Amino acid sequence: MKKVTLGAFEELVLLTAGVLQDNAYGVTIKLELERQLNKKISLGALYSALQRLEEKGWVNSRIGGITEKQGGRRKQYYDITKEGMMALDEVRAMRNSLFDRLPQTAINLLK
Amino acid sequence: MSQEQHNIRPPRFAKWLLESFCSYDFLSTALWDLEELFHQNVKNKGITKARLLYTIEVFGIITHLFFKGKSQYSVNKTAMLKHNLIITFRSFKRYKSSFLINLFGLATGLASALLIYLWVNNELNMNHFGEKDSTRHYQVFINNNYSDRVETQEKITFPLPDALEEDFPEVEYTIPVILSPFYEGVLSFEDQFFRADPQYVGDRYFDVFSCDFLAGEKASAWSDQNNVVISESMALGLFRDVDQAIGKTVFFKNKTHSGNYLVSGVFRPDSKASSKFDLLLTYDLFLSKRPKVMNWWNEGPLGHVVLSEGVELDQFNVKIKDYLKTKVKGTQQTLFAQKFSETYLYGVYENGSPTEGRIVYVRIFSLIALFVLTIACINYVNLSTAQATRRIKEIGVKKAVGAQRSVLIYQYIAESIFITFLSLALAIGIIFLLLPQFNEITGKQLSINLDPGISIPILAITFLTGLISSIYPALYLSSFKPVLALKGKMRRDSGGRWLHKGLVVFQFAISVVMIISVTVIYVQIRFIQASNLGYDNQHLISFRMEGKLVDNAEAFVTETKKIAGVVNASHLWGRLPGKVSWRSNLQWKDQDPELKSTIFHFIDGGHEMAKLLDVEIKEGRFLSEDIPSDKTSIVMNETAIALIGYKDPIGQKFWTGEMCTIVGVVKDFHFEGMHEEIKPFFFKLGSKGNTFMVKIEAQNQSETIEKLRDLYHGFNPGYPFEFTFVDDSYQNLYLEEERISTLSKYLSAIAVTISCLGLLALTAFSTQRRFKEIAIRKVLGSSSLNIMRLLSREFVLLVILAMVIAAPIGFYLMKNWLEDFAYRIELEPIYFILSCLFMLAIAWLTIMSQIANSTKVNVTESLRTEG
Repeated sequence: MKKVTLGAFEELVLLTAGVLQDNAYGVTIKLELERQLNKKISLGALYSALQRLEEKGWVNSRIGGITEKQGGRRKQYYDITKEGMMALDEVRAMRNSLFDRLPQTAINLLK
Repeated sequence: MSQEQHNIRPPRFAKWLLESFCSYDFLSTALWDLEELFHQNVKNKGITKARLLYTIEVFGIITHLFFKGKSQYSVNKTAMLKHNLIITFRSFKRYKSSFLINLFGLATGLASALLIYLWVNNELNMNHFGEKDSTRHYQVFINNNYSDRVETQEKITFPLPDALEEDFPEVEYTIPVILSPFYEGVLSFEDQFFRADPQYVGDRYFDVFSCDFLAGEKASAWSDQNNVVISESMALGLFRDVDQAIGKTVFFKNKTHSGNYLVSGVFRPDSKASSKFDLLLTYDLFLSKRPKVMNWWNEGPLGHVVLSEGVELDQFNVKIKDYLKTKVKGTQQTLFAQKFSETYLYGVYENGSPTEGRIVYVRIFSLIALFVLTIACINYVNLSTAQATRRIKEIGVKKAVGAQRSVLIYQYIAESIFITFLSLALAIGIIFLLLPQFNEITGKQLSINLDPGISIPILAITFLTGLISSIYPALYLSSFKPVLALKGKMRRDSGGRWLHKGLVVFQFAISVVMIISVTVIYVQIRFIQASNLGYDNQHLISFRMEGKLVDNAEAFVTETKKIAGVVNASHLWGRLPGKVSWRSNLQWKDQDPELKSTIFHFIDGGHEMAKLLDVEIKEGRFLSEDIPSDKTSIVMNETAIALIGYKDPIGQKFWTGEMCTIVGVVKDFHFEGMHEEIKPFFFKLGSKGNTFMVKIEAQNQSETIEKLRDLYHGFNPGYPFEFTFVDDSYQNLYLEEERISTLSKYLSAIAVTISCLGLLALTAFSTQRRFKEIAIRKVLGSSSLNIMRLLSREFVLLVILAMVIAAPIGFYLMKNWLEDFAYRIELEPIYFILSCLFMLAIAWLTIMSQIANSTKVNVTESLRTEG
């Protein structure tokens, strides 16, 4: 089986969902991401990322704030799962180890 | 939520789009987010921006859903659409040649149809103005009722406009308009001068004629009689800038109304207007300088009238018919009115009422466009039904899984509409490439743009093309029985095959008719251009007599003759070809009273006129300078002598307003175009004139013309020297025919190409299916030639059948067309034979290019493969 991987954009979405804790749904994630990345994010891209994350089991969705009207709207919240946290951790660890192996000369370039 | 916010709703279209693509659960989530964002945006960025952002987001969601999302979030429709698109693309990719043939066939068909649509649309809108009273704008014409014919004239008598306004309550007001090459002149400011064509118009002109003002006010344009409104090009030429022109005094000189005028407006000519002019002056000015014209036998203005609300044209026509009889005793003239916007297309008058005119060309070309498009559609129909076997398994599987017939029908219709829209994209590219040439041929300024008047019909035409060409294939393909279809067996019905063949015959019949027409039109035009006119119009130039030259005409001609390179020169009234003087009521001995109204054309000018034109003398002599009595001598043409009936014409008397003696007879020559019969004609001496004609030597023409120009400017400063070659003007008489010839040439080439593309694909397909048969025949010893004959026979027979059908149609159409010409070619069988042979050769080559390959088929290979 192919290893389940975490894409760069997915990682950002997952992190944001985690940061926003109980209040992570479409609009808030979008706005927070836009603030952090300083660029426009389309809802379509966000949804497809969230749907992929949900499939992989890294977020759980729950329903809140259903309107009573016909053709009602509902708020779909996304909570990061334990597996989600682990995936984030793994990515971070991998990055850190790569960073540690960066030669001193390259780090000096930053200074 | 406040009351105000109730009205603020997201755009309905975007919402509907989202609803039709998303599954219910996902939809409600997306809607919540979208609406929350929307209300935030309304607060921060305003309603318009918010609606735009909302729509953009919806499109984003749909594209993500469509290309990346999982099916559980979208509705079944989306999945089906996606599936069908994939199937369509796969079949395009797999059968590249038939896809490309369909694409190019439809694209060229659409491109030619759309180009013609642009032209037709433009023609139909000519003179349809949208000004205040344009819908009630009519034009009054005069009918001259002769004993044997009725002749309709545009120009009405001078007192008529006022009289109509006074005597008929139906007439709200009249707008007399005077336009004639006679009033052409030169407009100048300081040292700049240009030739300018004026119109003298009634003061409510702008209420019916559309005329965009770039500077100045329409309301105050006619505040003074000496105001002038000039065109944009005049203003730019004289003042470099449109706004600079207002309030300036310009000088206009022509034969009757020279003087200083104050520029009160600058207009841009309306592309819908059929009459072209450079400046507008007032009708009052015209009358004030020529008060003597105001009587019932002087004709001049065009009778534009505006009728009151609710007046019926028919009733009005009955009322005004005999009106002139109350004003002029014993007149044969009657009146009628026609809607002005119709005068352009229905401008030919027979028996005193409008019949057809340019509308004929509009109809012909609409029909041709329709035919070309039909040929393209037929290709699509034939290809998709002939290749049904390729999709038979797909249909079988779908039906077995439970697809209803309607689903399959929709699928094929959608596929066809999809490919027509692909073709449209290609067609628009073709149109952009061809539009400049097309404009040159048609003499118009057409453009393709997003104007709803143009873009919506274009989309509609495309949609209909797709729909029509797909109906039969969709019904046919979806009708297969699933069990048979899965076995790969085709239903063999003879009806379908006949339809198939019928369509091919139809395609080629149209192509053959078009080739025949092109041949005949081409031969006729060559005939006109090459036939002997009876006079020599080569190296003959003509230019206007104006300004100081009017008084020095004789001296100018004498000086001109001295220039090296000038063969001969003369002054005259009128211009060749066609525009020469004429009069009726001539008298001669033993005149048949019925011939009294016969029109005689004549050229009155210098002595050398007939020699200059190099007409052939039959009897007697030309007019001569040395014989003083020639002032009242005339030289007639054969037609005139035949009409008069003089056995021995030389020395006979003839009354032309003064008593003249016939001193010579010349052979008939075509002083008009070939549309017209040669009419009775004579040469006469005349002083002055309005034109000079100069015959120059073939060598060093430009030098001779330079010398002529210097001489002209010496005699006549302040006027531009503008000349035309008489043979060019003669060619211009046939501009309309030339246009038709060129257009039909291109269109028939397109029709033939599309038909042959279809034939190519059909032969390719049918030979492919008979590979095994070919192989077996080869094994049994059949020669390549035999096989070629076998394979091509069916299609060649179809093409021949098409010719048999097309020839009589082409004969009938061309006979009608030729009837417009007084001098025309006979419809020889050779034109038909050549056209048919040409078509046959092309069709045969098309077929052979496919079949020749298939006879080289590797026998073992093709027998071994299953299929």
